[in-house]
Amino acid sequence: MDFQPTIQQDLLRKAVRQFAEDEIAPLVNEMEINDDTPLDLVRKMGDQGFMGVTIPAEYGGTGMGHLARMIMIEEVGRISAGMAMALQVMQMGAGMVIDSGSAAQKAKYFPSLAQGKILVAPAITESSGGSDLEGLSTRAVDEGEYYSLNGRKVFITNSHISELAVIIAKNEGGAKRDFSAFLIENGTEGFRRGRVERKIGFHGCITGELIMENCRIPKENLFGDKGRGLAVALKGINDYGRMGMVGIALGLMQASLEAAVKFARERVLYGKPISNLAPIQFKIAEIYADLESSRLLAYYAAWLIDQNKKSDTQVSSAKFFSAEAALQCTRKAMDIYGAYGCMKDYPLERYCRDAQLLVPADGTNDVMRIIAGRNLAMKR
Amino acid sequence: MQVAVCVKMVPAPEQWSQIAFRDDGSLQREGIELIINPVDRNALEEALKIRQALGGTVTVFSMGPPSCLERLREALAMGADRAFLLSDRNFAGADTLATSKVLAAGIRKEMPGFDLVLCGSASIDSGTAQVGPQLAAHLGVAHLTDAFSISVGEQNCFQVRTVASHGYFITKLRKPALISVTRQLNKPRIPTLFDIVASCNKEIIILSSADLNIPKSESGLEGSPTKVRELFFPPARRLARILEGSIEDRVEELLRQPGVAGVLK
Repeated sequence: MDFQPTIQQDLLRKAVRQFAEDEIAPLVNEMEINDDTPLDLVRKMGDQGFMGVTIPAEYGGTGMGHLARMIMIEEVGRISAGMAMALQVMQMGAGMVIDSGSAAQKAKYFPSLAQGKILVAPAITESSGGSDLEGLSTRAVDEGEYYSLNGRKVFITNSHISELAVIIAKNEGGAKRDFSAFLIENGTEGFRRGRVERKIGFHGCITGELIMENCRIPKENLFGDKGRGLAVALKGINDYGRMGMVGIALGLMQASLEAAVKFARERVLYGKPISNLAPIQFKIAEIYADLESSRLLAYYAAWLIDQNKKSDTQVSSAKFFSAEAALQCTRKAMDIYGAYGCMKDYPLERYCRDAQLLVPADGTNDVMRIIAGRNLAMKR
Repeated sequence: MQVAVCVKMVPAPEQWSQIAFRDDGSLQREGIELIINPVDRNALEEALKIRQALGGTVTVFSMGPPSCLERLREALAMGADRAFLLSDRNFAGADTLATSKVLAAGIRKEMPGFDLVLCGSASIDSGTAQVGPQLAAHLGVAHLTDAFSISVGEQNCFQVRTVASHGYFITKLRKPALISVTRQLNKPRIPTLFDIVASCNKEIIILSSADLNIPKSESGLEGSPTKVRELFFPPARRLARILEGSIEDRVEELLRQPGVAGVLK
């Protein structure tokens, strides 16, 4: 077993860290206040090749894979969880087109998708929730020459900055699990953006509604085979969405560890830095252990995806474990800061708010336990 | 334009507290993360800009142990065409003279027709700023130090602005030449993912003392006239003095203190 990252992964981590510190960090305060996604920054990330990290070279990406993607999201998340969220969903959209799009769709949208010049917003969740996929109420009616869609998607990441959306809809009159996926271009008749949500965290990442009202979708925009909508959604959620949340959790824990150590070394109590105090050391050791445990599970799950091996047990476990670890680590780091931790002058309160968003996104932690537990306890 | 860039691998500043020194005063680098000396990245960035404007090649040279190979890959990811690591046990413990001799031998062997050699003005670990000028002397070319602007003018001349105490110099320098640069020169690029993937297909060649035909007596510790006698932290002395009397008296007294007048403006 070799724990040494490859030269490519090592260079990638350094390059992304430098980019995040040079280009993203100066915008964090502005994103916290305005809650807008800085589109210039998105363009720069596209130029750096960030959106194409899992996209094969023949489609304009680098094909570095999901482990490389995990490292990238971790490094962006270390500086801005909001921007990491926006980025990971941009990657998810492009990845879903590679995994499930037709040859014509790939030819039409690549290499622009890999370069971040156009963005895809995967749109699955509805007001009834996102985990109960069979309960989705958006309907698709086959009208012969086109499909007609009606419904409302909520909590959609990058909803208002994307040129495309992948919509999961129930086929009218079909069986219980008869769903299809559709690729909708912004500007399509009957398709519009709704409200923008006001979240407690992930500022800088727009989340909002996408609304279909008698939306006419050309037949060639069916995304994946008819009736395979749930499979399209689940592959995207497993390989990209949940793993993206894990990467953000790692970034938040790394940031918390660094902040905690720095503060503990500088803050003097009783004539000595508080890093000399055992209770402070305990907290720092616990943050480290949570971070490294999460990281090992995350990298293993990403490696499984890169090897085209079954990964849902590991991905689900990594998702709930790292999300809960991030909640605890950000809180412990905040505790070390004492009253300073409650001040907006320090990033600790932001880390705590961001960590809470890891719990429901891309499947709640309880749903993750159901998936992993069912696989382990019931399936042979 | 054929440009050579010399880079040094130095301990990452965040790990400086873990650095130990051997009895001979040399750094114990094992286990310490190495980075490209920051200002050497500016030298490389300038070389890449010159290549972009005028064509040619950019070749990186570095002297150091095999652990420097990974960092040289970073130079290739930034866009250098090829890289040479000058590495041999005989090179260990070199001072600036021995280092510059080895670098000169590498450049003469692999890039005899060079137009320009660029290097950082000084390293963040030893900070002597001597290797650049010494290398120019070994190569027999003119040189300038502390450049913050370089443009390639007519008749193959470089027009260079260098730092001076109260302003700057503008100098024309005929090629081939060596220029050492400052951090103000440019902002080094961050490699894209495409650059990183491409760098893994580029070659890094290791050259030994035999390849460079350098006798042991002229390299490494043996070829270094500089001997480290002692390493110590200079004592930091702070003097606190409380002035008394009226505000006017105290200000007058304060201004009479040596060095204060220039600070309080």
